[in-house]
Amino acid sequence: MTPPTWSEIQAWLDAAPWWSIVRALLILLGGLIAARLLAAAAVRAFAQRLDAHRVMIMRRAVMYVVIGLTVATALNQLGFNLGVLLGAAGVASIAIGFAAQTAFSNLISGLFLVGERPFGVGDLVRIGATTGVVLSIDLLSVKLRTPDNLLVRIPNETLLKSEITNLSRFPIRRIDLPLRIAYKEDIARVRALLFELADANPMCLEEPKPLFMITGFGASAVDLQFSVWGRRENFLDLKNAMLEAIKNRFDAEGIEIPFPHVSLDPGRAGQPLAVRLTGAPADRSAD
Amino acid sequence: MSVRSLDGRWFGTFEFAPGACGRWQVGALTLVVERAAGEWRVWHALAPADPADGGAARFDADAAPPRDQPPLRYVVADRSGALRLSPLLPDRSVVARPLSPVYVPAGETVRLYVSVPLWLRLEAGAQAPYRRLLEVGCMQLSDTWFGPDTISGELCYALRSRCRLDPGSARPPYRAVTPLVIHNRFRECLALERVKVPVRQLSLYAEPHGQLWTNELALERTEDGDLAGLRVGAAAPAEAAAATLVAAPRDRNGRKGAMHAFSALFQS
Repeated sequence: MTPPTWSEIQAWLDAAPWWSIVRALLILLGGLIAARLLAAAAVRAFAQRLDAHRVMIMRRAVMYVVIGLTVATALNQLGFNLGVLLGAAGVASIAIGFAAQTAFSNLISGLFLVGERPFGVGDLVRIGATTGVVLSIDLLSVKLRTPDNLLVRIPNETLLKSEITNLSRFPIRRIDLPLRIAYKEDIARVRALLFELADANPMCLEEPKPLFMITGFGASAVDLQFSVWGRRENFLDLKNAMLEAIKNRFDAEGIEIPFPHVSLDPGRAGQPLAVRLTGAPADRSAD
Repeated sequence: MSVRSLDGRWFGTFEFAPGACGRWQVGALTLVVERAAGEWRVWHALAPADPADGGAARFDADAAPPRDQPPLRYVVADRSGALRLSPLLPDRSVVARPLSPVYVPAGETVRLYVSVPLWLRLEAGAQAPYRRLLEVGCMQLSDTWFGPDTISGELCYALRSRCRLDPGSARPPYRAVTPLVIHNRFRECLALERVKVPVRQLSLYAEPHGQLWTNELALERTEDGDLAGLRVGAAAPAEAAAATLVAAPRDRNGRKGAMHAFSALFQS
C-alpha cells in the first residue's frame, strides 16, 4: 500500500463536504467527553468492590475503548474505509510488535500480576534486594519508594520472575532477635528474663506467645533466638525497644554478651604455650 | 481560678474559669487540663503499673500545671470554658485471660463478671457539636491477637482477669463490669482460657454512685459442643437497673458483626 500523494489528499479535501468535517469534529469532542464521563462512572461503580490498581485498569480500559470507537466513527464520517484502515493497522501492529517485544512482555506480565495480585498500592514489599512502598502499578512497571526516599522502577517482566515478599499483607509480624550469651550463663535464667521483658512491653503481643530457641553452640558463645510478635506498624519500635531492654537487663543482671574470641591450647593440659622468637629485637638505644 | 463540675462527679461537664487548671487521676492515668486564652493545654501520662484494685478516680479542681513538660495545645474558637470528660470503652476488643484456670462443668449455667478498663474522651464546647480533643486509656494494655491463626483474626487488648462470681466485689471506678452468662449444655467441661469481649459493640452505663457497667453477654454451648449464637443485652444489666446510659457503642451498626465475632469467643 503506497501512501497517498499530496494531490490526492487535496482532491479528497475538495470533495468532502464541509459539514462532514464539522460532524467528525463534533463526534470526536463528544466521544472524548463521553470517555471521561464513563471512566469516572466506572471508577465510582467499582471503587468499593475493587482495589485501587484494578480500578485504575478499569478506568483506562473504558477510556481507551470509547476513544477508539469515537475515532473510528469520526474517520468513517470523513469517508475513510475502515476495513482498509484496520488492515493497515494490522500490518503496522506486527511491525511494532517486533520492535517492542520487551514492552509487550512487560504489558502481559503486568496483566498476570493484576490477576495474581501479590501486592497493592501502599504495601511495603521486598523485591530482590529492593525494599519499598508501592507507589503505582502501571502497565509496564511497578514504582517503589525506598525508605531513603528514592524512586525505583521495576519492569513487570522482572517482577514476574522475582521473589516478592509482601511485608504488610498481614496485620502482625514476628520479630526475630538473635542473641549470644557466654557459656558460663544459666540458660534457664536467661530464658525467664527474656519472657519477663516481653511481658513488660505493651507492644509485644501476648498471643502468639514469644518463642525461645537455642540455635547452636558457637565458637565464642551460646547462640539463641528470641522471637516476639507485634503489630506490623510497630515492627521497628518493638525491635529497638526489645534489644535495648535486653542489653540493659543483661548488664544489670551481669549476663555476659561475649565478643568473638579465640582460645589457644598448647595441646596438653598444664603445659605452657611454646613461644619461639624468630628474630632479635631491634636495638632501641639509638632512638 | 478553679474548675467546677456541673454533674457532681469525676466525669461529665466541667466549667473552667480563665486560667484554671484541673487534674484527674483515674487508674494509671494522670490527666491535667489548663484553660488558656483561646486554647486548651493538656498533659497526660500513664504510670507503668496498674494501681491496686480499689483505687479511686480523683479530681482536683485547683491543680498546678506541670510546667516542666510541654503540653499538647488544642486551639479552639469556643470561649465558653466548658469541657466534657466522658468515659467510654476501649477502641478494640479486649481478650481477658483468667489469672487461674476456670472451668464450667457439663450442664452448668454460670454468671461471671469481667472488668474492662476505661478510655476517657476530652471534648471542648458548651453545646453540640463538641470539638474532640483527645482520647486516652486509663491503663496501659498490651496488644494481643485473637484468631485461629496468625493470618485471620483480630488485634485486641490483652487483660488478666479474675473472672469474679460476685457482683458486689469492690470494683475500681476506672473499670466497667461486663456480666457474662455461660450455659454449657455439652457433656464435657468448658475451659475458659481466653474470653474476648467485643467492647466496640457494647454500651456503657453508670449507676448513681458511679459504678460503670456494660451490656450483659450470654453464650450457650450446645449439646453438640458447638457455640450457639450470642445474646447481647439490650439495656443495662439486672445488677444495675438504675444505671443510665453514658456512652453508646462505638460501632452502632456492629451488632450483627459482633455475633459472628462471638463464634470464637472462647479459644482453647
